[in-house]
Amino acid sequence: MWLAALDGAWRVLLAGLLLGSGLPILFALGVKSIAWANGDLPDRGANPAGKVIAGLLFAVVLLAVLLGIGYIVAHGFGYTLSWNGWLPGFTHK
Amino acid sequence: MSPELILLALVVVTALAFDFTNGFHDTANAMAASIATKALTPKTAVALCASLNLVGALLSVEVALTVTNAVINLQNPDGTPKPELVADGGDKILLILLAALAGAIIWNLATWLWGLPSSSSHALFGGLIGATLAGLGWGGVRWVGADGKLDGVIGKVIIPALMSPAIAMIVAMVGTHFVFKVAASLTEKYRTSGFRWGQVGAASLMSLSHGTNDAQKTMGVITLALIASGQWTDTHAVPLWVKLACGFTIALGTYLGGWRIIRTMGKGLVEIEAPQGMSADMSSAAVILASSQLGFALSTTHVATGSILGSGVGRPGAQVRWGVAGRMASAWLTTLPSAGAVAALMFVIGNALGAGYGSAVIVLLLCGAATYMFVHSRKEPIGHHNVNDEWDDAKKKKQKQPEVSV
Repeated sequence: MWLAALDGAWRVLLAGLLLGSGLPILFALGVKSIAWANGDLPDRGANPAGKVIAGLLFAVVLLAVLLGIGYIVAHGFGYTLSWNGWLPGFTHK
Repeated sequence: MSPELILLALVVVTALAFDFTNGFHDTANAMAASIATKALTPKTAVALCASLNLVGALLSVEVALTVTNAVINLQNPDGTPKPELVADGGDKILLILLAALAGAIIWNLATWLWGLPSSSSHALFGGLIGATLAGLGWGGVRWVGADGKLDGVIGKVIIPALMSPAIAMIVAMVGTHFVFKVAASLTEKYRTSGFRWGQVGAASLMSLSHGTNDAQKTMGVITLALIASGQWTDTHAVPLWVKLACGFTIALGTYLGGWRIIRTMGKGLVEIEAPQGMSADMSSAAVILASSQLGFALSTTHVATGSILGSGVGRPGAQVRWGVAGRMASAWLTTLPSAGAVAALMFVIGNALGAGYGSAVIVLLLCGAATYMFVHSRKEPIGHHNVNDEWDDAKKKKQKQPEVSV
């Protein structure tokens, strides 16, 4: 049973690091890109490209949040998240 | 009303009371960080959390009828109660459930009074285990899963409780560390307002997920009681009134907010700045959803606390109050046995008096304990007005001294 527990734990840790640590970092980079676009970073001039980068980064975070909501809703209706290659899909439990 | 119906009604009302404490005990998990960083005002935070809990509770059509099967052997795999347990008209099963719920509520209120975020699921499972041990003996409890599967008290409750705070802490620590690296060159304006949206988003996800998970547990317990007393037969659906009652009760509890616990989590462990709050909340949301997907049962409370601690460890120069963390950890260790002991005692008292009088006495004892703790909490009230006051260790000690000397 301890093996099963460790098996579950490292998967949760991996997914957690990917999403739980990765998304805040992307979000922080997004905030920084906006500061860049507005010329609010030290030693760097304003650059409109910052807004584009920020938009992309926030879109990734938003997508993950939507996937999270989708997961919770689907779970409530008896569906579960499955991976078809790299694309997420919902299948009946 | 026949005695059987009165007993059933007491179980249903007590289950809803547990659902209520479950709501206000867990507001902190989703919202403590957002309130501490002022991403949301205290009142907006509890209102948002309560609405999402309600939506989550009503959204689920899955039946959580087998919730007790994780730790005890009252039900068949399809959710119906074991036939030998309902031979007496279901009295024994109802008394076990009533004692279990009473134990869980009393422990939830006690930890609320102390401002400690303990797990409501541990309290419920502890209560079920204690009442079952008293009612059916050692064999009534499912200690370990069959064939090395993660099941039973050890696999579904104890192992995850040991691992989940550590996992959440690592995730939040890594996230916070890098977020502060990125945010180092940002001005105050970006540091505070920029991170709010991310934090509110993650906190909302946690609230929604809480509604789908925790309200379901009470629905399962009430439906089991209805089936055991012959008032309901369908094992594929929960009666609509049960679903509505559980959803609204958990939302009401959430809205009232366990301010004492919110204060400990948001101010007591570490001083939380906006970037930290976002990292902590996203870490909690990710760990909770990932473990749910991977079938690894864990407690939201343990994850949320681990994340906030991790966000303190990961931030350069932050002060973590390990004394407060230690008190929390001791509350976690004692939750299951304490709720279990109270529930076992309740069952013994109730059983000795017979199901009719016994159940009434259990409910009276529960009401007495709840009133005592509520009155006690008024001596030093904590609400939305002072939840964010500075955490003063010295002041706390000074106030405590008269109590000790009396």
